Amino acid sequence: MAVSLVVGTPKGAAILTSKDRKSWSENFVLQGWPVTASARDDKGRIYAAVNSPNYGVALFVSDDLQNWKQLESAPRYKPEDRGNPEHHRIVSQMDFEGVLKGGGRFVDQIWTMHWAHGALYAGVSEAGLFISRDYGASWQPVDGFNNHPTRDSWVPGFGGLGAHTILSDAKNPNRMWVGVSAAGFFRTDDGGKTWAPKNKGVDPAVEAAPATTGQCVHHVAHDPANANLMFRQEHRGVHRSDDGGDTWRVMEDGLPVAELSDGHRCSFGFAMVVDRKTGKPFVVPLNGDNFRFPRDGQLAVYRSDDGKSWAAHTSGLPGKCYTAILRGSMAADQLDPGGIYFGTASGAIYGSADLGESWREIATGLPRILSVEAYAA
Amino acid sequence: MSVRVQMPPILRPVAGGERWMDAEGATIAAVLADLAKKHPALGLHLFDEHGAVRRNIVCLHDGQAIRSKEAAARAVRSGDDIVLTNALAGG
Repeated sequence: MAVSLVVGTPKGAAILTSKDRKSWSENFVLQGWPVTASARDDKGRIYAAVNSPNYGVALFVSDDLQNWKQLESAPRYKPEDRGNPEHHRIVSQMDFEGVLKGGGRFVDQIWTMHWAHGALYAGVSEAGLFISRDYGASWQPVDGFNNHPTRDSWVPGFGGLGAHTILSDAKNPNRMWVGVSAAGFFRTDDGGKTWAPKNKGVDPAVEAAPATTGQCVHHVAHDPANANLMFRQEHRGVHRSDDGGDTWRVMEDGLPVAELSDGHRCSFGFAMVVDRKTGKPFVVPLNGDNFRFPRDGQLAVYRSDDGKSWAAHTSGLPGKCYTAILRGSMAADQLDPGGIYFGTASGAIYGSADLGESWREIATGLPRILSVEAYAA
Repeated sequence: MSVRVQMPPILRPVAGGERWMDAEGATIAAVLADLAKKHPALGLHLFDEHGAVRRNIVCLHDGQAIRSKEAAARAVRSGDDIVLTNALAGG
């Protein structure tokens, strides 16, 4: 039952380790580096992605979560790739030298990493997908995605134009999905050569946005072994698909609904995860896009037991919580019973060893939590 | 030209852990390129994907702050010390 959490923050990674999921030890590594994502390969090695406004994006790898070595390669765009001006405007706060005005495309963050079918994938900002088939020693752009025919229509979300979700099908290596804020959800069925938008049934983030690629997907979760059943936390509510994303329908019965800034009413949030043993999805709703903290400050995790409706679980969670839970900061350990973990933007980690029935604070005093991944021994 | 470069603390573990590193080059950009060649992992932090010195890198040389755009034109002499740092931001 031993579990390790890799918790990414702007000042390093907290490594939380437990043998019984009750008592946790804590170590803080990669100090000084903003840690944005992690993943584990088929040899059990853990990768951590870092970015720095001064020193760029890089990847570290570790066998034991204590000693980390930086890889000599990282995802990088080609010099001829053209950047998105609106994305540049959003991320230009630290662009003292006006480099972005040149119009190039840069990797300024790795939002997510994913191991599937013998390869390591990285979803990055400015939005794109990269693959490494040699354990991170070299990286290649997935051109079919990065030069998608609709790319010129992609509009950045509040955090920039980022590819933040990568999902795979355990039974079909040619099928994968990528989510981009705010260009929606895409699927390949030919090993990454071509990608089709999969947003039917999901409203664009704003009325003026393109109907096929204007969706602001916040996160998507599924079980790779049952890949076509998907749950999607969108800017405009929670959705479910039973056909691998071909069609979506709203699934919000039991969730708190908030009014968004444009008057639309839905269940807003970012974090989402699925427990594979039971197939149950979890979300942490926030009180709309204007407030972005739990309704009335009551931190609550919602679980769906029947795939149709949701119920709140608050035991052990604070009633005065006025902070956000970011999209990458929730994880499941996939043990039995399933352990669920999430972090807050105010530096607390909560964990449940009973599928969300009860919760306990397992770390506090950390910086803003950017990412959480759970690795069972 | 053989010079010494003082590394910022966060980058030292990437390139052997030393505070001062020896490097060759006739300009600051060439010195940084020499470091990148010897230590590819460090190179990721010094140059962006367009081959330019990263935009927020600042080198202190001969009492002056040399910004990334000036690095290619800034000549160095044998025995010079260069302090590798970055633009100040935050509070």
